[in-house]
Amino acid sequence: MYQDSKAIHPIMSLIFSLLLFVTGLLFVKEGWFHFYVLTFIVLLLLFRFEKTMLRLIPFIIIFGSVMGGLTMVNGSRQDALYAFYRVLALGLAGTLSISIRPIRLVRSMNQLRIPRWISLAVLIVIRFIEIFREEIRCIRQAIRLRNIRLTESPVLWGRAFFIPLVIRVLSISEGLAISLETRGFSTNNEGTSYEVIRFRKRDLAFSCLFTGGLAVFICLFFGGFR
Amino acid sequence: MTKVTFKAFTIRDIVFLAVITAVTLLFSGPFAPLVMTATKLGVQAIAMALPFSLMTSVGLRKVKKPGSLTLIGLFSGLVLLLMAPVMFFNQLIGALLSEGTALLLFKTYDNKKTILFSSGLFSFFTIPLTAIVNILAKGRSIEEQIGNPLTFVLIVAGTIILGFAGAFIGNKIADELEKAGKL
Repeated sequence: MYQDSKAIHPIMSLIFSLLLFVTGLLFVKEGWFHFYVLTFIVLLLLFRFEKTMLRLIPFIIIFGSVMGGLTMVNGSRQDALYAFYRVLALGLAGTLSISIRPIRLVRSMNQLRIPRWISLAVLIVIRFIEIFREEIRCIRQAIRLRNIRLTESPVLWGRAFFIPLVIRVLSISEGLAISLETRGFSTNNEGTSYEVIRFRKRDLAFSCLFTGGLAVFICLFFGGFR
Repeated sequence: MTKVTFKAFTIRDIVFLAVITAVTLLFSGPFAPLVMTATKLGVQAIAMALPFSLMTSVGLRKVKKPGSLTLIGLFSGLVLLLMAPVMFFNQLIGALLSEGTALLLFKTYDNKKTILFSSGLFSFFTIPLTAIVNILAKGRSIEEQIGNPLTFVLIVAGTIILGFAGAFIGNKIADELEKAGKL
């Protein structure tokens, strides 16, 4: 995950990510799309997002190629290129959003007076995806040990997979709820934040450069500078 | 004529719905990248129909309160906001519309049909919003998105069928767990 000192304010990251995604899709067919991508790559590199970008490169190449390839079946080479560009726009927007640390996002949401149960639920969802990936792996191992195959007996496989999974969901959520209740969490009380997420000079600089750059491309899109 | 009665959610309900959302997202995870940039309208919905309806119906059998599906939509949308921002509106509005339709028809979650309709139609209701987003963000006309009308009708029908099939399987799992005293 991206280091705190280099990260942009979580809410700003989220907003800019949304803007990049929408404008990226909007600008895909423009002749200057390369400059748009290049501008924001440079901006992201300036603000030290290189590690997150490196992590996203395989995703962009693989899915961009798959999407491009699938589009080639029915469409032209140009359409395939646009499909690749869409994945590129998604990757660009994803760089900002996946650099957000969940806990910092939750703290920012608390500061914005977003109900505590919403931020808590978001944190649970993010955290438990990984936990349940492990649970599913264990359940599938148990199924394999019992020599139950999906292709041979799908109904039995379904029972052997879903029943233990839902039971784990029930027991984990029950344990978690008890743990939260004993710590005084409820849906209607306000809590305090361990860390205050501030809007720093770095965030301001990023915001100015980002909006400035984006404004130029929006002008170009609507036929400005002619 | 009975009215829809809204009940307050406890921390237990919120935690359970959040955990169910995590599992739902985990199930739909493998399909998402494959259909993410598909240009045909409804392809995303048909791919997500089965995993979403299956897990959400189990969640609705446990938390039988109006607004439960909207909460699942909100939580999944907030998490997906980090990956594909448009998905937030897709999830939230899809959940809101399907829950609204189901509650309008059957009023209460005590009726299993409400759960079947609410979960089963979740993916179907994301199609109109996807169309709107495609028009606004990608500038693609509705005719372009639909392509061959017959294929589109098949995709929509498939989304509804898979949605209901998932909700039916989810209800069956919940029935077994209820019999065992676990739900």
